[in-house]
Amino acid sequence: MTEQQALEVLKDIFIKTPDISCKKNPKEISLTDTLRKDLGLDSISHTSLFYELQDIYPDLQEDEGAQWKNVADIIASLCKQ
Amino acid sequence: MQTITSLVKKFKSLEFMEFHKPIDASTYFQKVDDLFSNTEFTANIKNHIIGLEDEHELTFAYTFLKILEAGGTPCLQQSILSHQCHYHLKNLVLSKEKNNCSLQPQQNTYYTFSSGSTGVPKPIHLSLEKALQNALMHANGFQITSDSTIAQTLPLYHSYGIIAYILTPLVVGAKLNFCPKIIGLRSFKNSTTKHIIHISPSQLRFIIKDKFNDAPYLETITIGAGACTFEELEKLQNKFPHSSIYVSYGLSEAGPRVSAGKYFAKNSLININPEAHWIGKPLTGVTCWVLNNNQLLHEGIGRLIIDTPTAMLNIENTETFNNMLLTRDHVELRNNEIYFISREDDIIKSGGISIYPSQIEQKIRTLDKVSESIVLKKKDPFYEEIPVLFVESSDLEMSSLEDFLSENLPESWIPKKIFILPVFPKNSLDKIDRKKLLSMTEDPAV
Repeated sequence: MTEQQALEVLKDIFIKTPDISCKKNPKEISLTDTLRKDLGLDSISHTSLFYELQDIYPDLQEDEGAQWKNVADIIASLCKQ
Repeated sequence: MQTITSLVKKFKSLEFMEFHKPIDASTYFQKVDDLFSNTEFTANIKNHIIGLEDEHELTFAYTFLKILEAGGTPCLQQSILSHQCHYHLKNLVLSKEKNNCSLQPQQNTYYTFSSGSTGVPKPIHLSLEKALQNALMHANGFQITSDSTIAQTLPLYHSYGIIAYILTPLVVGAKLNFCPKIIGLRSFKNSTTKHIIHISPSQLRFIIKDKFNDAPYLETITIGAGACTFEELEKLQNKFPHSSIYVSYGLSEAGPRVSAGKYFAKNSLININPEAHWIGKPLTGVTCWVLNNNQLLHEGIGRLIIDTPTAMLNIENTETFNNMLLTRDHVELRNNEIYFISREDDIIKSGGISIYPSQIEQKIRTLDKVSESIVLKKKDPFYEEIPVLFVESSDLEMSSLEDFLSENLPESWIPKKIFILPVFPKNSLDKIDRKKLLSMTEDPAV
């Protein structure tokens, strides 16, 4: 999977999952955005996002998900899948 | 009390995991031991406040104990508070940052911070001896033993984190599994170790909503840091039929754990009041009272008073009543069980009368046509504050609701504004959007 494809998957989840409250328009999410400051994700939204992605990529590991600080971290994890 | 040196030794003998996999703790310990083997370094710690910041959880926990052993006073904080300390231990490098500091160093004690009712972080000064006692009370309340594995999912730098994740494993010899940040329970599905996990009501609601169901090795789930309903407990129990579910209550000033109670689906308690926010019974050694019209009562409704051997060292007179801890929480005490009613700040003070929103809400929910009700407070130039009632119902008529209110509530409690809505607005966590509801009251046409 390319970075661009992974980013599209991520945006799609933000758009389709109302449980994940994101303060930025999902279509405008970029690799440099931080999860907490730029997207406004709290710990519950972080977990929701991880589980939504894990539903698609079952091999995603929680310890890796727990380390995500910004969008680039997520994309890097998805590109390995 | 065990010596701090024996506690440090015992801590090193515990078993540790991270995300359900065993970890080699010796490398973490060695790093800290090397630092503390420097006599000049430890001499600088003695009789000083030592700020301890975010580190790997295991390093954090071990450094906390090593600072105590070196005669320092650990101060657990998020980085925002570090300026309040004489010394600031960051990345395990001690640097001198002398600032004005109101905290008093004292051996075998430590500081945490509570959020404080005024919004300013409030220092909580706790003795290690009392904290160990509180940890033992906590362990007994949840039946945590040396066979238990505690999953650490909440931060260590709060008073609760120290008790639940450092001192409780120490006093009972339990294993510790570091699982920070991820707060769902899916990973427990593949665990082969029986776990105990502590969660907040927000986490509880997330877990109820999550698609994931039973995890046989999730032995115990405890809920604290806020009240939840019996309905929510029942949903959680149905999702995790193999788990023991506990409620609990505590506050930093009390050391912090105060009460615990095991949920039984068939418990007669739940037949009394399904909407009550039950928070268990006082832990062994703790006595609870309510203060009502300046009278201390064993039963009834009022401000919660706690008599605990583990209270913080720096209690101010305004926080005590007859030398006991005067909380800002209003509860009902019944048969030694505690039912949370409201925080002092949530109470509506209308024309000199205290109104408990939850009591009105519970009464209205008994109406057949009502699916939900909520009472919010609104500033008022005449009464100071007024109760505003929102009722979720598709076919309830205003006149019959008004009749019901006048028959069932004291006149002064009857909400000054009432809204009947077919559906309540919800936020992303599926909780009622209170801000949106309150904004309806700003409409001049209403």
